[in-house]
Parts: sequence; C-alpha cells; structure tokens
Amino acid sequence: MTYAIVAYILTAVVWIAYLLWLRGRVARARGE
Amino acid sequence: MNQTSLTPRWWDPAGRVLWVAAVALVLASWWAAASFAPVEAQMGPVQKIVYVHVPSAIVTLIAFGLTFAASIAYLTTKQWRWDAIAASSCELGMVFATVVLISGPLWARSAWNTWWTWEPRLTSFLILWILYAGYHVVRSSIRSASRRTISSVLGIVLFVNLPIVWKSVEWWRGSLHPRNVTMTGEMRETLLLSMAAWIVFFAAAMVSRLRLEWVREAAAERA
Repeated sequence: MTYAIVAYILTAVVWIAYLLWLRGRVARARGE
Repeated sequence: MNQTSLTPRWWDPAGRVLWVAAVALVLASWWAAASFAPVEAQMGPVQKIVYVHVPSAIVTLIAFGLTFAASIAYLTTKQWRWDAIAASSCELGMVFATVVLISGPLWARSAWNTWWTWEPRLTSFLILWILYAGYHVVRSSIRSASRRTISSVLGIVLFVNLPIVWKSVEWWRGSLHPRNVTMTGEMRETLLLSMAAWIVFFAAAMVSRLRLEWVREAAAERA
C-alpha cells in the first residue's frame, strides 16, 4: 500500500510543480 | 494591443469550467481507487497504481499524437496556432510521461521485485521520453524563423515511436507487461473514471499552456 500512496503523492507533486512553473512563465511573458 | 488579445473571448471561462471538472474528476477517481475498487487478489493494494499509471500512459500517447497532427497542420497551413498546439501538447505529454516513469517503477518494485528492468515496454517508453525531451531542447535552442518548421518536422518524425511503444509487448520477447488485461466490475469502472478524469485534466492543462503561447505571440507582435 505504501508504494501506491507514494505513487499518488508523487503524481500530485509533479503536476503541482509543473502548473506553478507554467504560471510563473505566463507571468514573466506578460512582463509582471 | 492587450497582451492577451489573441486569446479568444471564451478561453478563460472555458478554462475555468475545465479545471473545476478536471480537479473534481481526478479527486473522484482517487477516491474510487482507494475506496470503491477492490484490492487485487495477487498483487494486493499496490495494483491500485494502475488507476494513475495506465491513464497517464494513454494520455501521453494522445498528447504526442496531437503534436503529430498539429505539426502536419502547421506545415500545411503555416498558421502559428497549430505550432502552438503542437508544442503545448508535447510539453504536457512529457509531464504525463514523467508520471508514468515515476509510478511504473514503484509498481514494478512490488510486482516484479525490481525498480527497473530493460524489458520492451519500459525500454521503448524511456526512449520515447528521451526523444521527446530532445524536441524541447531543439525547439528552445532555435531563435530563427525556422523554429516552427523544424519543431513540426520533429513532431512528425518522433511519432514513429508511438506504435513502437504500443506494440512493444507483441514485437519483442521478454515483456513483463501483459499483452491484454481484462477488467470487470468496480475495477473497470474505476479505470474508466480515471481515464476520463486525466483526459479532462489534459484538456484543462492544454487551455492553460496555450495561454502562454497566446501571450508570447501577442508580445512578439508588439515588438
């Protein structure tokens, strides 16, 4: 069960990290 | 000119609706995986990784398939929006592929007693990830006007990897991945819900990623 929980947590971490990075790039492209 | 004036008027409302649906569906699929789907008899609870691993792998192929189609459309029409769709879809495909490469070894450690083995599906998928990473390296290194054309050619050429990954379990011996999996009942319903959830998530993420392309294009037009 531990491996499954780790897989789900890491999936969430990867997506949150990516979406934050994307948000930062949009802000930079706007010159904010 | 407004910085996002290239964005269609319905873009932001559509994005919000998609994100609400995507988050709700993903959370529902995770609840279903934890509480609704039964524990698999042989592998035990670790098999529940299937509900994030398989949908992510399928959406990876959808994303790279969209890159292929949009790349052809760009070379045919030379409209920058097709290139924007190809690049955005390719980037999201990389994130989905990364999730596959993280969740897979966690499952393999329990099911096969190893984090990694050079069996056909794993090897071909890793090659797929490396080659599509190359797409982004090449794209980001080109500053000239040929950037879109070269990216589109790559988006088309790299597509040859997709059927190789898909058929790898049939074309080569020694595959640990099953050729066919038949699921019934709650397991099948949970997998279908997870598939739907991650496809909607991909659509929502595409809307957000394309916004970056619209903003960049608007800035380039002003310059």
